Parts: sequence; structure tokens; C-alpha cells
Amino acid sequence: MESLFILALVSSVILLVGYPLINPARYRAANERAAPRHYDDLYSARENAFEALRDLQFEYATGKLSTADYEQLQARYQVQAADIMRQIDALEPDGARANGPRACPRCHAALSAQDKFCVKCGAKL
Amino acid sequence: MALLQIAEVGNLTLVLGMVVSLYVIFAAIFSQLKRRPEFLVSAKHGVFVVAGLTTLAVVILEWALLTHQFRFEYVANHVSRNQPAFYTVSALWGGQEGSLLFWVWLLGLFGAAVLIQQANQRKHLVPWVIAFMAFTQTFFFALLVFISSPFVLLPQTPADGVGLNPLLQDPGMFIHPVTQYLGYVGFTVPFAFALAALVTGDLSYDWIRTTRRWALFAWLFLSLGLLFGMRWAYVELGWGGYWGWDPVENAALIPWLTGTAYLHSVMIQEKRGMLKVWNLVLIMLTFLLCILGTFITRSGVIQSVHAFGVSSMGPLFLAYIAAVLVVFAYLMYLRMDKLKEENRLDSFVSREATFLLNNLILLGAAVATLWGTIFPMLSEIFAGKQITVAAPFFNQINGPIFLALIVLMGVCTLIGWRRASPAHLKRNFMPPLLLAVVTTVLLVALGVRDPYGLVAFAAATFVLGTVLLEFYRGIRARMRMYRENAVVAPVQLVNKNRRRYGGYIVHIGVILAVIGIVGSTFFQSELQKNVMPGEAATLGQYTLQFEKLKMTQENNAQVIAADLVVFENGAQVDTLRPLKAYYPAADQMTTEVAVRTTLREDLYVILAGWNDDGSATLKIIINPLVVWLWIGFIVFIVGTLIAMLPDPRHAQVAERVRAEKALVGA
Repeated sequence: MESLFILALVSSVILLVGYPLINPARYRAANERAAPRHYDDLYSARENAFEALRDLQFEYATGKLSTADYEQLQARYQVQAADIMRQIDALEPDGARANGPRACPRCHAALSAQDKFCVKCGAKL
Repeated sequence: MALLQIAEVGNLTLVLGMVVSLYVIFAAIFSQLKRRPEFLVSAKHGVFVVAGLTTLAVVILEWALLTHQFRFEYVANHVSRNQPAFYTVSALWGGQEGSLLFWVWLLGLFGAAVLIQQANQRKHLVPWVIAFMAFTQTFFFALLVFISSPFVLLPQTPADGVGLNPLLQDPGMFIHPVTQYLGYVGFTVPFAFALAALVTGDLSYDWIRTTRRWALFAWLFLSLGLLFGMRWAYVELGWGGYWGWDPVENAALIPWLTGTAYLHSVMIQEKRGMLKVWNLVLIMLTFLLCILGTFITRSGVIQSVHAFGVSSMGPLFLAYIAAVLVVFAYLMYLRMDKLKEENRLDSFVSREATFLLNNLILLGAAVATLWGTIFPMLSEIFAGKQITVAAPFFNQINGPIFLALIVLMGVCTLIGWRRASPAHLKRNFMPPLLLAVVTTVLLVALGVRDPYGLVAFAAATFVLGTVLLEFYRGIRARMRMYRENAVVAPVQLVNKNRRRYGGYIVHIGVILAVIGIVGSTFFQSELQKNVMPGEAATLGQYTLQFEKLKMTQENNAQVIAADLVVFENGAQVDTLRPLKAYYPAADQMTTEVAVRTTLREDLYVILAGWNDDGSATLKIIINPLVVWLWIGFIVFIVGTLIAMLPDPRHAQVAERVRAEKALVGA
């Protein structure tokens, strides 16, 4: 009884861990289609830039920065964010870039090819 | 199934766990070096399998504990028949073997959680994260399999077990180790990501953003561990205090200090791309200090209250720490070019500068505390005798350091990012400074004279002023910009800026705790007196009337208690019953103090001794403001939870729309 349990335990461990090695081709194909690695880093950088802009606005509104300082810093952060977004665009596969910018079918806002949702009205594309 | 076979199955799960996690290390690394994705999938399966195996081991051990299988040596050592079931469950982490299993079980669950969380993201980081977590798991499994297994059987079945050490029979015993371990184990995840970032060379933002909540989570539980440990010491150890600079207390504090530095310091890397080396070093230190903390608690290497198990694990722990240090140092050297600062400090009067100073101060406190903690061990190794380092050393060194930290906390709130406009800074400084001065004058007028106490209170009020000012300005800005009223504005302020205002609430909690600590440290009063039945003892405005001694048998202990009636300024307000309990099975005496808590102070009474003539020796302590320590902690926890919540989605989208609109012109 007990040796049966041990056998079952050991075999299920080996099976669960070893199963993917039986048919490697299945995982290789999926891997080819994976997104380029720099995406994650650039998206994080973009989120950072937006957060920085938001913090800046907040600090100005709560009286920690002079108007001159605020405008100078805001311009700097915006250029930084624009630069990051251009890098993200550059990483797009050729097909998407060829399509170029497009308009939202619902509210006609200006969008780029890789957007999945409209930034303005939230419509699914 | 016979007991022997169940023990075998238990040991088997540990061996299997070790083998599989060893495999996971190599499979994950191999999958990246040789571009074989099937090995990564196999490694991921391995992570879940290990989580399952450790869960099975925990289930087996808990079953053995709850059904009193005394043939298991671990059960016999930590459970007894007449012990409440509550403490039987907690015996899982009560002893060395069980706590190691608990550690590796948590790590297994966290590994699975990371995989679920990162399901299709960060594909280049995750394999290395898995590899490192598996490496740590293999280490702990090795300890369990080769040195310290919880599934060892005794040759005969004893009639009863020894039971849980009576000092540990307290609800704090249930919660403190759990929270402490969640914190210790939790820091494995951010550090694993840091190593992964070093290996892959992706060193700017990603690993930090990904692990932001993990780091907060682990730090929250380290804080909770400290809270419950301190509360437990206060009510259970019976000397009137909550912190003794005990080696194991320090072992929990030091990673908390470096962890605090890390949480602040990463904000600078996110905003300015600076302090990359600092952040990597801080998270590495925090993680290794957590491992050290686990080791110090579980090996008895430095004698203390927590020395409930002595073993030969020392060299192995140190070998693990050394291995991680070497790999880390090598990777840092390899990636030096990618760790260059992206910006420079614009000005010394900027939030970046205060955060840098914050790093230095917290690291200083950590180093000082660590030095004091391991000094006895070093002196024994190098000088042949153990020289104890006691509270005065730590108080003298850390006191001023923490005071500087408090002042810095206030200053950094007033300063914005990049630089502070001097005129604005002066204007912002005035109200909190004024508040501090007024408070000091008031305290002196009320008769407070202790200089250290006054300085500390002044600093605390200053910081409180700065945070309240932030709330006031933020609320006013919202009322102006969004036309919100005075009730909605504060709620929305916190809601839309959870990280910032969660952090400010944490700071308020810290200040309240500081007030509690200063009150109970500098203004404590004490009296020890022997009283006959009917006699009274007076301290401050309290008079305690001793009625008589009472002896009873409770559960598994013989209890002797003193019945006291408490009068405050002549009127009866309370009855207290301090006691001592003797546990025959463990041959141990514990003290249970009686405390009367008000917002103003704690009246804390210990039954220090008694005589055959029915008289009792009472030790009476008045701890002013100490309840604010606990209240402060709760506020602190709430603030951390708020900071952990993601900002509401529409805030993010609105931000993005506004920013992108501005950029269309750029």
C-alpha cells in the first residue's frame, strides 16, 4: 500500500517535470513569436516618465516649486517621455509600422497602429 | 499506513524537493544559455511541483502534531497532551526543523506566485529569478535532509510529549514567527529579480517596478514581525520594556533598516536613473541580512531568549551567504558600465539629496547594530572570551542616529524633486518649525525637563507638522482644481496618490510610535515594594492595594497570583492580577504581567516574588505614552497597505492622455 503511494508520488513528479521535454518543438514555435525583450524595459520607462510628470504637477500645485522651475522641469520630462515613446515605436515589427497611424472608429482620435484600445474613448480596436 | 512509513514519505518529499529544485536551477539556466524553451517550461513545472511537495510535507507534520504522534521526535519535543490545540498548530514553526520546513514551504509558494504573476511578462528575467529561488530552496532542503529533518522517529513511543516551552505559549507565539518569516522569505523575490537584471544586463527600471509590491509586502511583514515581537516581549517577558537590543531582536531590525533605505532609494532610480549601485547593494544586503536573521534565530550562535535550538548549521549558512556575495560581486563588476548614473544631483537641496542622506543614515544604523550584535561572537573567536554588548551601547549610538533620521523625515517632505526653490523652502519650513517650538515651550511649562526627551518630542512634532502641511496643501489644491468639498478632497487626495500619501501616513505612524518610545523610555518611573495582605503601594497618582495571594491549577501549570485593587487619585478604577505560572513538564516559570492601559500611560505591575507569610513583592512601573507605540504601528500598517494598492486606472489613463497630448506638440 505504502510503496504504491511512494511509486505514485515519484512517478508523478518525474512526469510533471519531464513532460515538456518530450515534445520540444511545441515550445520552440511559441518562443519565436515572443515579444522582443526591450519592450518590457521601455514600457516601464514610459510609466516612470508619466509618473514623474504627475508628481511634478502635484508638487507645483502644493507649492514646492516656483513656476519657472516647474516649466523647465516639465519640458525636460516631456522630451524624455517623447523619446521613450519613439523608441517603443521603433521596436514595432515592420508590418505594424507599415500601417502607420490610424483613427479610432468611434471617436476619430489619432492613434498608432499598435494600440489595442482607444486612448480617448476606451473603445476596443 | 504505519508511522514508520509516514515518516519515510515525509522524508521522501524533502529529498524529492531537493532533487527537483536542484534540477530547476540547471534547467532554467540551460534554457537561456542554449535557447531551449522546453527546459524553461520543465523548470516552471518543477517550481509548482516543489510547492506541492513542501505543502505535502507540511500537511504530514501538522497531522503528526495534531494527532499527537509522539513517536516523531519533533512532536514529542514540542507538543504535550494537555496543551491547547492552538499551540499545537503553531508548533509547526516552534522548533528548528519545523521552522526550516516552514521557510522552504513559504519560498515554494512565493515561487509559484511569481510565476503566476509574471505569466507572460519579462520572459528574459523570469528564468534567472526561478534559478536563484531554486538555488535557495536547494540549500534549505539540504539542511532539512542532511542535518535537521522534522520526520525523525524515536526508538520507542513516549507516553507524553514535552510540550511547547511555556514562554512561547502566548497568542503572540502564533503570529510573530509567521509574519517574521513572511518578511524574511519575501525579500528573496526582489533580490532574485535584481540578480536576474544583473545577469541579463537590463538594469534601468524593469526589475524595480516589477518587484515594488513584493518589496513592500516583505517589508510590511518584517514590520509586523517587529510589532508582534515587541508586543509579545512587553506582555510576556515581564520587565516593563519592549526592546532589549537582544541579538535576535537586532537580527529582525537590521534588514528592516536596510529595507527601508531600499524602498526610498528606488524612487530615485525610477525618477532620475541614479543610485543604481546603491539599490542593488541595498536589496542584496537586505536579503542576506534576512538569511542571517533566520540563522541567528535558529542556531543559538549568540545566546539569547530565542536560543531554542543549537546545531551545526552555522558553517553551511555562512557558506551560502559567501556564495551569494561572491556571485553578486562578480556580476556587479561585469555590469559596471551599465550601472552608470544617468543624471547628476542638481542641488543639495533636493529630495534626491535627502534620500541619499537617508540611505547613509539608515545604513549607518544597520552597521552599528550589526557590529554590536556579532561583536560577542567575534570576541569569542578572536579573543577567547565572549564580551557582551548590552543596551547602553546601542542606545548611545542609535539614539542620535534615529533622531537625525526623524529630522530628515520632516525635511525631505518639504523639499520637492530636482531642487527646492529657496523662497518656497523657507516658507514651507516655518509652520512645522513653529509647531515644534510651541510644543517644546508647552512641555517645559508642564514640567518636562529631560533634555533628550524634549529634543526628541520637538523633532517628532516638527515632522508631524510637515506631514499635516502636506495634507493641508494637497486638500486645498484639490478643492481648487477639481472643485471638491472638504470631505471628498482628502479621500480623493489619498485615493489618487496612494504611493505618496500612503507613505505620508506611514510617516505619521512612525512619529506616533516615536512619541510612545520617547515617553516610555525617558519618563518612566518605577517602584519595587514588599507588601503584606491589606497593605498598599503608591507610585505617581496610583495606589495599589494588595488583597491576597491566590494559588490555582490551570491547564498544564500551577499559578500563583496577587489580587490588587487600583486607586487613581483616591478613586477605585481597576483590579489587576499579576501572576507567575510554573509548568512542571518543562520545569519552567513564566511571569504574566498585569497592565492597565490609558492613552496617557500604562500602569504595569509584575509579581516579582512572594513569601510564606503571604506577603508579595511587587514591581510597579509607569510607562507614559507607551500605547502610542502600538497605535503608531497600526497607522503605519494602514499606510503601507494604502501605498501597496495600485493607483486607480482612470487616473493612469487620464495622465497618459494628458501627457501624450502635450507630446504631440513636442
